[in-house]
Parts: sequence; C-alpha cells; structure tokens
Amino acid sequence: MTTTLDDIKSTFLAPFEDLAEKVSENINTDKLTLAKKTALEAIENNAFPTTRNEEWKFTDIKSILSNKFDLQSEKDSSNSDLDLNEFDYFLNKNKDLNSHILVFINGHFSEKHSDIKTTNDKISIKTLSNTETSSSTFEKFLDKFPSTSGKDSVSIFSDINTAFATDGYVIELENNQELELPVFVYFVNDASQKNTLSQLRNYISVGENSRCTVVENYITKGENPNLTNILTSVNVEKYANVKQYKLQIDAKSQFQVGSTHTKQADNSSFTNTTISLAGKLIRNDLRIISGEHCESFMNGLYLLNEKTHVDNHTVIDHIRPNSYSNETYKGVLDGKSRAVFNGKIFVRQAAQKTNAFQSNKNVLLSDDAILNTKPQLEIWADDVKCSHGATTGKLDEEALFYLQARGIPKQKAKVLLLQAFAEEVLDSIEIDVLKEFLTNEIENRLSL
Amino acid sequence: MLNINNLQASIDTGAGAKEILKGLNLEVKAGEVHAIMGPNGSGKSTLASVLAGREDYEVTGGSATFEGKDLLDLAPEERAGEGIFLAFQYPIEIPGVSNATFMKTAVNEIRKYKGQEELDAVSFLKLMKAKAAEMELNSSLLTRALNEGFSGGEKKKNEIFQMAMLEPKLAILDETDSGLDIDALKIVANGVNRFKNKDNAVIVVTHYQRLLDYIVPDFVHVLYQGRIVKSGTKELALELEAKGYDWIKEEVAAG
Repeated sequence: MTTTLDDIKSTFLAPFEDLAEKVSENINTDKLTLAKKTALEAIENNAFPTTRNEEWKFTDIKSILSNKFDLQSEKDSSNSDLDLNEFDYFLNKNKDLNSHILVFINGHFSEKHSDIKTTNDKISIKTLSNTETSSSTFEKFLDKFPSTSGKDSVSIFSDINTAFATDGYVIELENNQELELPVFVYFVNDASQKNTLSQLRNYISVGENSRCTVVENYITKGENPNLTNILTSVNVEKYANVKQYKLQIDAKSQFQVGSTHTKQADNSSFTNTTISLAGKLIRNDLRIISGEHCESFMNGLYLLNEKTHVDNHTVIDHIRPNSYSNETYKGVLDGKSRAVFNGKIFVRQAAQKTNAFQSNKNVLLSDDAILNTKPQLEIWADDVKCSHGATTGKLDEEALFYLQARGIPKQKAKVLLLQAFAEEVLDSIEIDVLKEFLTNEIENRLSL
Repeated sequence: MLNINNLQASIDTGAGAKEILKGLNLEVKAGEVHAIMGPNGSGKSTLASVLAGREDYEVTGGSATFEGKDLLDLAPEERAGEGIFLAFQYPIEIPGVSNATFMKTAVNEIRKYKGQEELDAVSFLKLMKAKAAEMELNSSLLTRALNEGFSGGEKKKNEIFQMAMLEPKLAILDETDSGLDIDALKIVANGVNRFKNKDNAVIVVTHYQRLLDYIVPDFVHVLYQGRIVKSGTKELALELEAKGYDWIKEEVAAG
C-alpha cells in the first residue's frame, strides 16, 4: 500500500475535525472568528511542505505527520500532579532567580504550577485562555502580523495554529514601563502516557521606551510522540527593548515547529537567543521586520547529538534606513545529528545605511553528523554594509595538540576549545544561571 | 634522562609514508644543554615533534625513553606530566581561551598528574605575575586570548613564560630564535638561563648559531638526512656559522 501526501494530511488532521466544524458553524463576524475561518480554508487548500519545497529542503516532516495526536483529554492535564522539579534543569534555581513563572502543560495554562508576581497596572502578564484577553488580543495582533495567518502565512503550521491554538502567554507593557523580573515560561509536554500535542499562541507587546525579557523553555516528559506547534508575535514600539530566549534543552522526544514574528518600530532593540540541545525534530522560524535606527540581534547555539535534527530559518527584513542587525549562530554536531541553517537578510531600497552581519560557524565532532547551511543576502539599497560567512570543520587538531603538549588531557582540551567556540554566543546571555548551565553542559556532553 | 636509540619516524604525505628520521641516537643527561643544528629539511623539527608526541608522525623503529619510561607509549599530555616541554616553532592562536585560564588549567593538570594538590587562585595568580614579570611579558597579554594577535616576539616570550610556569625536566626549544629581534632574543635566552639548573636539561633546536651566544650549549649535534652525523662542543656551532653546512654534506656523501 502506498501512502499519498493527501493520506498523510488527512491522518494528521483527523483529530481536528470536531474543532474545525465548530469554527465553521460559528456565525459571529468578529475578526478572530473570521481569521479562524480563513485559516481553515488555507489548511484545506494547502499541502504540508515536502523536501521539494525550498524552505523545507533538508527537513522532512513526514516523521511528525505520521503520528496521531489525541486532542480530547488534554484539558485535564493542566492541573496534573506533574512534579516539574524531577526533570527540570533550572526551574529549581528559579526560586532564587526571582522571576515570573508561567507553566503550560500540553497546551493549557497550569495555574497550580505558575507564579505570576504582582506588577503595576500598566504591565500585564496573562494567558490567552483568559477570556477577557483572548479575543481582543488576537485581533490586535492579526492586523500587525499578516505573516502569522491567512494568505501570507509562512506555513500550514501557522494556519493550524491560528485555527486551533488552545492557549499561550500574553505580555503587555504600556509606555515607559520596565518589567524588572524576567518571565520564565515553561511549555511542558507530558507524553508519558500517550501522544501529546501543544498548540500555543503567544503575544509580547512592549510600549514605547519600555523593556522586558521573556525566556521560553520547552520540556517533554516521557517518550511518546509529542508535538509543539507554537507561534509568538512580538511587537516592539519605539525606543523599546525586548529580549526573548528560546531554550530547547530538556525535550529529547519532542517534535517542534515554532515561529517568532517580530515587528520593530523605529529606534527599538530586539534580541532573540535560541539554544537547542535536545529534540527529535525542531524547526525554528525567526522573522524580524526592522524600522529605522533599530538594533536586532539573533544569537543561536545548537549542541546536538544522537539523531537530533534542528532547523533554524531566520529572516531579517530591513525596510527603513540606518539600522543594524547582527546574527551569530554556532553549532556543535555529534553522533548522527543534523543541523540546518538558513539566514536571510533583506535590505530594501529605502533601507540605506543599513549594517547587517551574519555568521554561521559549525564544528563537526562525528563523521555521521550532517550540516546544511545557506546564507542568503538580497540587497536593493546601494549604500549599505553587509557581510555573511559560514564555516564548517572539525576541531582544530593543531590547537588540540598544543593544549595536550601543555599537559591538558585530550578530553579536557576538547571541552576548552568548544567552550571557546561557543563563547561568542554564551557571552551575549545575560541570565547567569543559564550561561553557567550551558558552559557546564558543553563539558557534560563531551564526557559522556 | 633522555635516551634515544636508533629512532626512525615517518610522516604520511598522502602519497605514501616518507621517512624523516632514519636511525637517530641521542643521550641527554640532567644538567646539560644540547644544541641540534642542521640544514633545512634535515629532521630537526620532526625530532622535536616526535618527542612531544605529535600524532602526524609515525614511529617506525627504535626507542626513546625518558627517565627509564618508554616515551613513545605516552600521550602528549602524559609526556608533559612526566616533565617534557616543547616550545613551539609556531605557537597556536586559540581565540576564546584566555592565556591565564589556559595556564591555570595546564599548571593544575600537571600537578594532578604528579599527584600534587591543585594551586588555589591566589597562589596561582602570584606565581603567574612573578613569572610574567621575569619574561617582561606585558600583563595585558595574560588576560587576552591565548596568542591571539600576539606579535612574533610576544608569542615566543609566551612560550618561555609557559616553560617557567610548568617547570619541566626537559625543555625542547624548536627554533625559538626564529623571528626574534635582538632584544626579544636576549629576554628569551635569559628566561632559559634562569630556568636551567643541574636537575633539568635543555635541547635547543636551531638553524643558526646566534641563540647559542646566549644559551651556551654543552654539546652541539648536526642533524642531516635524519641522522646525527657529527657531534662536538660549542666550537662546532661557530664552525658551522662560519663555513655553512656544505662541508658536512660532503663528508656524509664521502661516507
């Protein structure tokens, strides 16, 4: 029996039938309902990407789609007795870290595990399932982020997310506000009993001259197939500063398709740091549209082993003049792991005096690891400074010998060299526990 | 201290193995300074590399023992632990690893190897500052990445500084004089002379005599075509400086 692409699509989408029907039958004409209906049509009309699609050339999602994800009983799990401490890497330390903590289990907010501290009334940290926020938030963002759904959406996963997202975080700061403590968000898939799906939609909106830091953590418990389909929109107003971390550390059995869509008003600053250490198959899409006099930083570090597959696609779109972007992605690949990097820089005609830099450097520790890297620059303006570079190689044997000749054992010498390699990205991390954890993790990985 | 007997070593050139050391004999005792000279391509740097344990070379025959231990059996880091130090002809630049971190790791790994306790941060810092001052090594170089952007002279001074920190039993200086101006040459030579005592030994591998004006050798050996073809005292170095290597080549050719 041969399985056609349509079969795969219908198998994957079968559990959504009831939900889709509810959306279709909804006679409301509010923007959210309409957006969901448009998303349903898009799902109907579009196919899942295959490796013939340029954007998915090296990432085959058949392994995701061949699973059936049960949607019925997920709601119960949000109050589960799951002990987060048992498998977490620094949730324990979070208590000392002093942060806001939001926990979502299988796509639903878990109040029991969360700890949102009091803030002033110009700052709000809420969840999408909270009915007073959901519809209005969704609407506010739909217009601003056309790439997240409908005819301009980046992939069918975004449309599925628009139509069926169950929950997510919503962080809003009015003008001149500072969120002093970082927000640590834990997205947990409990796949210990059965296949699990989390569909999350998040919003960060930061008013003029305001700042905040959000740390997304992805965690899986259990070995059953589990998928996170997540989409985050970030609206950064003038002179605002947003730092977003994406940590894929403790999620060995997880499939993940996630995207972050950021819009920067003039004079704003945005930093995304994506750290990937574990997962079955991860696809990260990061898209930034930058205004005038903006700064955009894209930092990535992936340390992969076994059969982990991580695909980072980034787009920085300079549409106005005098902005600066800097992208540094570094990877260490061991075992049979595979990493994909595709970084696009667009500099539009109007974006004169843009400075845009990109680099992707990789170290392969094993002959079976695979790397596909593709930098892409498209420049319409003529007065710009742009550069990109990609390197892939083994650890420098000469450097290794030099360290050994000074009495440093080979294993330790490798750790030193890899820590030095990762330093550039580690250095940009402003959360000390995270930096320390990652520095040690490089050592732990190699001593296995 | 060091006994090399009929040592043969080759390198894989990609188009087959090429024999470079073809039966080399050398004995170095504690308290001695040996100079190894010879024309380009005679195998001087290969000898230094083989003694330090560089994997590119395959030892195909003979033996090398260090204080009775079979040197060829040991990994490079174990040789360093036993007390062998190679000052590199071309010190490697390692971005991201600071000179100080590197030095502290090296000092403590060697102490561990010897079964000694690790140095605490304060004692280490004190030692490092003292040794750096002796080598006239600008203290800013200690916090910078290892050799990164160092001048040729700074790199060589840094090698001798490392030697002073690690206090090996046998120091092998591989063309340490190359690329040094006269001031740096004197600083490097003074560093070696300060290090030198009756319990350790130095092998100076060099093409020219000029370093030997400052580090006076007890023995001078001429390496040619993978063998030591002539040995003598410091006067031999002066003779080579005056007459070049052609007469040696002729002697060898004449058998």
